[in-house]
Amino acid sequence: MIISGILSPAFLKVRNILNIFWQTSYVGIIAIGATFVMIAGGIDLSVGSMVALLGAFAIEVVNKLGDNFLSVLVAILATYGLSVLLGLATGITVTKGKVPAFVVTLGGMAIYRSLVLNFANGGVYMSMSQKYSSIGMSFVLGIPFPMLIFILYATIAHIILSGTKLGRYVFAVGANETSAYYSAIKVDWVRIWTYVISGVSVTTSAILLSSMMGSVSSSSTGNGFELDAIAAAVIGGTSLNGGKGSIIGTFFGALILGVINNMLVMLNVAVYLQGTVKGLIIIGAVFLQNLSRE
Amino acid sequence: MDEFILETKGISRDFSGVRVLHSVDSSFKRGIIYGIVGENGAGKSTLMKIISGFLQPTEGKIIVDGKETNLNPLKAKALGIVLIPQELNLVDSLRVYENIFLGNEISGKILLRKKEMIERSRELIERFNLVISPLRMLSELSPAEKQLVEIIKAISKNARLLIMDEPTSTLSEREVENLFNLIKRMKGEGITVIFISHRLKEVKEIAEEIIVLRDGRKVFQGPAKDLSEREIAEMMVGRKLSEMYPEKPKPKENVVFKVEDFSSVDGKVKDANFEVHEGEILGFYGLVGSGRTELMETIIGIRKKLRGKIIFKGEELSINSPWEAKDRGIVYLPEDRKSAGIIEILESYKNTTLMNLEKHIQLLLKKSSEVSTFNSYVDWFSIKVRSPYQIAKTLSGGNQQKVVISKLVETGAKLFIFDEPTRGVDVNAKRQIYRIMRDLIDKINATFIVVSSDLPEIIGISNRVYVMRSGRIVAELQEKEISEKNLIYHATGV
Repeated sequence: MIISGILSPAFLKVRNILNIFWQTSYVGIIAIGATFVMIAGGIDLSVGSMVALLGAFAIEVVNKLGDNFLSVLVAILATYGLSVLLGLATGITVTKGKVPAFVVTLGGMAIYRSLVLNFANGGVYMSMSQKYSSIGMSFVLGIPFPMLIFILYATIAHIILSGTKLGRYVFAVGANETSAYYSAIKVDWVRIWTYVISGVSVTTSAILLSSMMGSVSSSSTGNGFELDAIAAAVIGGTSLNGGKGSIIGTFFGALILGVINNMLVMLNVAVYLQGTVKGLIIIGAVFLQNLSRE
Repeated sequence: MDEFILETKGISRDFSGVRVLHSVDSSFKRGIIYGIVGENGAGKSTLMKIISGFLQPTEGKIIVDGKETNLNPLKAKALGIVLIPQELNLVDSLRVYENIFLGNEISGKILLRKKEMIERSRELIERFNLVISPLRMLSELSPAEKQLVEIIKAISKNARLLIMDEPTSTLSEREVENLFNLIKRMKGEGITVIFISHRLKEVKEIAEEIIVLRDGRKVFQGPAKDLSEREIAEMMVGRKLSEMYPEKPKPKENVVFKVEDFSSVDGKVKDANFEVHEGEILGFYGLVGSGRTELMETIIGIRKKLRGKIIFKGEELSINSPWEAKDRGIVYLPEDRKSAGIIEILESYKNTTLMNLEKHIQLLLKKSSEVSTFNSYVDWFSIKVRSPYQIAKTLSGGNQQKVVISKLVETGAKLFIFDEPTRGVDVNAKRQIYRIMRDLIDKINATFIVVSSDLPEIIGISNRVYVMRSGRIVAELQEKEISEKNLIYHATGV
């Protein structure tokens, strides 16, 4: 932060910091869901495409039902419903079907993207609803709505992970699946629930993002979100081997990632090279985790 | 040639500032079998890792063939010093000969010379009168056979000093005998063997010289034949042993648990019939692979049942999963603590409360309630732990096992199925675990089924014993009939 402040005075302006927070919210919310999946020893690569699919779905439902409060509500509920189904399907395929999570969600990544591309014919879903678009652009007490949801979402997730039976089981299953099973924990269902939580997180993000933008691009919305979400969790101390991690860690991991992204822009690093930096950060974070374990 | 193949002079070792080995002098002659004994944490493994180059000493010298040497794993290997760890270094998905030559492959310019490796493997195997085909997949072998493959692998690298860490912990009596024959043949070829075990009877049987470690210090090195098991055990714990086993419980008349015509889908358990009285410790003995563990896993719902009835407290139960068993008051202590019992990277108290979190929920999980439950077990079971938040991995084996037992007791279960409850646990912790079992019978009206390969244990604690062979229960021994001879007779069928 200090370094970027010196390098680029624009960085420290309140407005810029608020912007970073705001920009980070979308990936941050998804990263919170990913944290559950990863602590339970899984991985979810499908979140980026899922953002596009669910965002497009929400817009389409509102467009069909008309521009009023009720149709927006129905659209949001229907999108959450769809994501719960997708999460269940992923979780059941991984656990009961014994297909590795990497494969199932890699497949999901391709499937969701191709579906949204197909329905949009490669183009863009535009929202025709003022009501819907007002969600993502609203401010509460001068704070951008997405940012508020991010903080609220992280707080609830933290309580679930550290204060409930499900949260404890998520850690137990990720730390040692066999011991958890012998301890009479319904291991499969714990893992299925983590994919549902991931899906719900994606919905939350997709609604905020698509309403803010007023549109979803079938080809580019959500691209690379899976990388950012995993990076945020890993930077925050979540182990790719499962059993370790925290929501607070992921929250700050996401913010750090946001700061780095912002710095790269301010310092005029070529857009194309930003992926290189992120890739190196993930690899470096895991490397450091391994070092500290020894 | 120097008389000693290896000597240590004043070896000390610190781990993060804590001294775990204190100036150990030891010496190993050619072609002699050494037994190293000590409680868990006495420094056996650390000393062996230093001798085989995997750890560097903080102070002191290692002398190999009369020359002071700085060892690392590669150099140790080149000098013929080979360590066979407790968890074997073999690859399940490779064949026997591929494992033997793993990292040591014979190859031509480009391709591996498979025929030559198979032939060499066969020679090695035959040289030690073993019958294992070099072409079999490792995954098809029994734990005992895998052990033998690991030894053959060591010999193929021209081992001169072979260190075996707890090689017998998963073996049955007869397999141990096979292993001992192999060790004696190696001795005949001039190989020095260092044998680490918790089973004093075995150490006394095979070792010519015994080294006793206690709290990181060598307290004895000398000929084995002058010592009794009791004397060795007393040196290990540093005080007189009161009796190892508590008085046997007095079971009630009523049958609390009954299994009828029980078979598993995979055929590992066939037509099992047995019953347990309330407050009884019922032993199950048999060789590895005789179906004891499989029978218990079928009862608890981990393995699929083909047919049969379970009757608990007069009620017929249908159990298809560990959670159904738990709800009915039946819990299982798995034989493999590390992979199925303890959760190593969780804090100790979280292990204890894992199976009954409901007790600690007041809207949310209440940490203070969990910790106080854990602390009550620290007192009751004498668990040695720095704090409830200590990561379970850093506890000794015995303390880990006590934590796992506390987790099971927390469920409020009345029937405890313990599979190898004292495996890899030191003498003191063993005694404590037997006393905990007795205590549970007296205080919470518990009943125990104990599967064990440890003969003295089975004899020492059981009211009755069923013996299994090839998936069937072949004998029921009443208290007076339980003897080493009877158990082995029924288990082997000879």
